[in-house]
Amino acid sequence: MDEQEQEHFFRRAEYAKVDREKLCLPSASVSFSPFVEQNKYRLIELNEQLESALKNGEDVVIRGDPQDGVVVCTDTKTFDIKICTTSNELLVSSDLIIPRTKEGPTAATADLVLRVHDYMEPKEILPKLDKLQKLLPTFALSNDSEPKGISTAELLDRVQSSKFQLQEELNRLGAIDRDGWKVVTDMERVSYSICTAIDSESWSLAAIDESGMVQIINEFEQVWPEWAIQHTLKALSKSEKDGTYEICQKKLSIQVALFILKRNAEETNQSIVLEEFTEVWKTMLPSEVEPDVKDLFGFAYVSADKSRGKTVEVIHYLNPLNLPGDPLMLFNFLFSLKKQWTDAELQALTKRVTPPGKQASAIISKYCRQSKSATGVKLFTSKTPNNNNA
Amino acid sequence: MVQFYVKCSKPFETIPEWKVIEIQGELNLREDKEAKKDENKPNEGFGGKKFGDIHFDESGTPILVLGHHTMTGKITKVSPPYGVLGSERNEKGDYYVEAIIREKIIFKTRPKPIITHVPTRLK
Repeated sequence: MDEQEQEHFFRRAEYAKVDREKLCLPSASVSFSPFVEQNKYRLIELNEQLESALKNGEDVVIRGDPQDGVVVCTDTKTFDIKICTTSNELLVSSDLIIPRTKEGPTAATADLVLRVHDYMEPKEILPKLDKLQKLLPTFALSNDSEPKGISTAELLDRVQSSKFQLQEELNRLGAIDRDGWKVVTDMERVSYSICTAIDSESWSLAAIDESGMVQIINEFEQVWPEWAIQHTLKALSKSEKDGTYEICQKKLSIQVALFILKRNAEETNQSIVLEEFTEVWKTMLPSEVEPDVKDLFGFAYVSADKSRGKTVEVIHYLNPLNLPGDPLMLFNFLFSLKKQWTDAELQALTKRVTPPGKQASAIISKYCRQSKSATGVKLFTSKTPNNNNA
Repeated sequence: MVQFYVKCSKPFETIPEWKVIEIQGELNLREDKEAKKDENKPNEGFGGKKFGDIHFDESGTPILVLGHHTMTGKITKVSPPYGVLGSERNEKGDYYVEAIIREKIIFKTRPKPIITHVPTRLK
């Protein structure tokens, strides 16, 4: 600003009754930049996680197919992007100085480079993993040939999830990376072979040697490929050191239960009486493992069956790959299976659809009506009348 | 579908800090009759136009002089801060965070007219 312009600038201030002597300096003469209408920039709220991700040089990535909404991922979290509109006008200046002292150059110019009424607001959400189940090739070791897998990079191109959350889900689904990710659908059979070997050799679950296990299982003929045994041992264990695994009792008992339930579903297509099931389950497991039906909620559910003359409790297999990822669809599906669910069953099933920062109980009470049985057990029924009449 | 990376234009600590001036309502341009006559002339809207003057009094209170009006405002923290994202991707296909906004000046008072000439009362 030259002298004459400064003169005009402060004369305008005088007219406006601004006391020049009492100002923090510099004052600013603000103009719109010539390209202000070109909307060269967008504003995005940087919440703590996004700011620290940028600060630490982590990847911040916009992911998804064109038809998906915009989702931003850091290495560990997923955020949905909403456009927030405000009735106030936001004028962004690239060079406006907010003075703190009276000692400064007297006047400066400032440019407004953006004029907007909205900004992007990230909101932490659950990763959108439904697509993952469609993208992952699946095969059964016992009857299919091994398909080509899909790479991590390809998955991240399509699935709206952070790397960490994607890896967690791949682990949950029991996926394996052999020339790309794929899912072995009959891992419980391998687990059963491992369980039988542990039982027959009376090995301790605390230290299972991989090569010894492969030798026992494939002693007379190749029952399972070596990689499949190794993959299953990894999935079943708490820790691994130099080919020695510490097997998790709970994981082993779940896999053996799945083996019984799936085999039963394939062979008879009928549910099993809970009492019979628990008995078979116990005998199949090594003696040190104490099975608990509650661990199976998420893969199985218990219901009352009146068709066998008297009312008995029966257990059904529930394929986690078929469960909808949307809470409303999930509850509609669940109430189509049975009308009343216990708290423990629903807690296990709704964990996956509970948004960050919320409790599973909040989701359950949003979609279900709570009541108490004669014995004082919390029971949940659908809030939608159609589901109760079905 | 590809993935678009959001990166900092500079090391994070050295990203410039920009400011926001927030005003209530909306700014409108006085209709430019000359420009309307000439249809070939591109509509530049606010581009290159003068906005106003901002002064800060000794307690740091901002005063906006806008046309024939003044407004006093307040300096507030923007929490969480805004990132200023370039709306076009660079040659590598990445979006850049060009600046961060941690402070804004908000003017939410009703504009006061500037009265320069007070007519003397008729006797």
